[in-house]
Amino acid sequence: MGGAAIKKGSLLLGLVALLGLSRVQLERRYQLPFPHLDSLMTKTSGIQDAAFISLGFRALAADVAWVELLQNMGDYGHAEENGKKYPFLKNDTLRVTRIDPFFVRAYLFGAATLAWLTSTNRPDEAMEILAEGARYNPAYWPFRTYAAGIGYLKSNQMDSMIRMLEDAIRDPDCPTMVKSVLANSYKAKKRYAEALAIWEDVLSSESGREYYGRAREEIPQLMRLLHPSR
Amino acid sequence: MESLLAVAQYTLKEHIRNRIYLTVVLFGVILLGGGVIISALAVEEHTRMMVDLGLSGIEFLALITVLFVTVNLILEEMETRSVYLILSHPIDRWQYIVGRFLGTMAALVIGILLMAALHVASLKLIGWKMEFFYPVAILCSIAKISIVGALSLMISLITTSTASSMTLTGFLWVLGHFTTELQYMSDRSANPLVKAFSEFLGYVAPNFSYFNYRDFWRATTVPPGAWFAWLGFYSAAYVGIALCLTSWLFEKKEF
Repeated sequence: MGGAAIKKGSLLLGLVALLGLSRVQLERRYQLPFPHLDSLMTKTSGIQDAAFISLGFRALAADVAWVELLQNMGDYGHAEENGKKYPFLKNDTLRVTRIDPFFVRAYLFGAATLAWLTSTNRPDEAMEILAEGARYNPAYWPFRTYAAGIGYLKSNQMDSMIRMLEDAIRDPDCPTMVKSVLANSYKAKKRYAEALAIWEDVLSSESGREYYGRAREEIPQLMRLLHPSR
Repeated sequence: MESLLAVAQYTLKEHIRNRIYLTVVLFGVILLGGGVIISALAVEEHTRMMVDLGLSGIEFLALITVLFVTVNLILEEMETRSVYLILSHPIDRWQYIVGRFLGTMAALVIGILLMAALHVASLKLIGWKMEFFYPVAILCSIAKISIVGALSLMISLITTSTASSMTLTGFLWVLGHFTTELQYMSDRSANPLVKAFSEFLGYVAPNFSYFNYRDFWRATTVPPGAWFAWLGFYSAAYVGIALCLTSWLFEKKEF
């Protein structure tokens, strides 16, 4: 009886030692890469986001915040605050990326919308978003490309900006919105064939479905501009 | 060993016949199907959303199942007195506990793998290609659920009430996801009591965030292979400790 108790006690002690050792090893070998809860954007939906994270569903929380960002763009996108359109856009983007700092498309979408849409035109806010994205994803090159593109936009160097956007659309995470900005820039520069190629690419891709209507409008127009005699 | 496997086998058969288990699997099928529709809202990120929704849904359903199943696993047999029949056989009490736990985990792993197969099939429909992170994320979820199952079994013998067992296990689930924040709080607090209490909780509660590989596989740096081996030891140690304590509690019970 005493022998059995010693065996069980030793087993338990061995397991506690293994637990302590494995915990130390886990902490030493890898630090979880997420910001703490106090950096969340809590103004409108802090409880919802914190609840998701506390239940262990961080990536899903970021997805829900992303869907809400897109819905806000659709529902209240044209609302103005102090003369700003999409006044919430920077904070909504940061809400998504503070939950999941590796959601690269959210940074790109938020920054591109703030910088290149004529109705927003807030390149400084776009740069803030890109800077935060680059801090968490230093090896992700499109952030630097977008930042350079925005820099050229601010200094009105359109040809250089176009070259940057050409680089940006090589990235598979590039939002279709950026492709549409590049197509518009080509069109403004009378580079119709290149604009047409972009819209055809948008129409053939699965991801940019919300731009299909726009592509279907642009393609015949560009065809007419390219072949006026037909 | 034979007795232990016999208990595990009959537990597995019992769970497969159990209606709650089947209902949860059915609910999983509906959830994964619904995911296809819901993820369309994420526009250019619908694949990401389907992956996240599926992996989170699988884990959530496994959690619900493990809560309902393990909380009643021993209590029900004690109430119906069928435990007398089993313990009248030449079987140690620890073998009974470990056998019941292993049978339950086998049933849960089958359920998780079935749901994962359905999830992968629905992802394939939208052109997704299997990536290495997926099986790792599923394995991490299985490890996490096994810890919850072992803790829930232990709590069920301490509290002897289904509702309080489930509440306490649910509390541990949340606490386990809060461990990193507790350590952060303890580092920042100047109050020695808060510091000591949050540090104590941080060390006693399992750190479930380690098992959320589905959340951090997209990070710039991912853990090295050895880290996952240590995660395996960490899970085994937690499960082992919980089962040792459960067996000890069960041996103290008088029938």
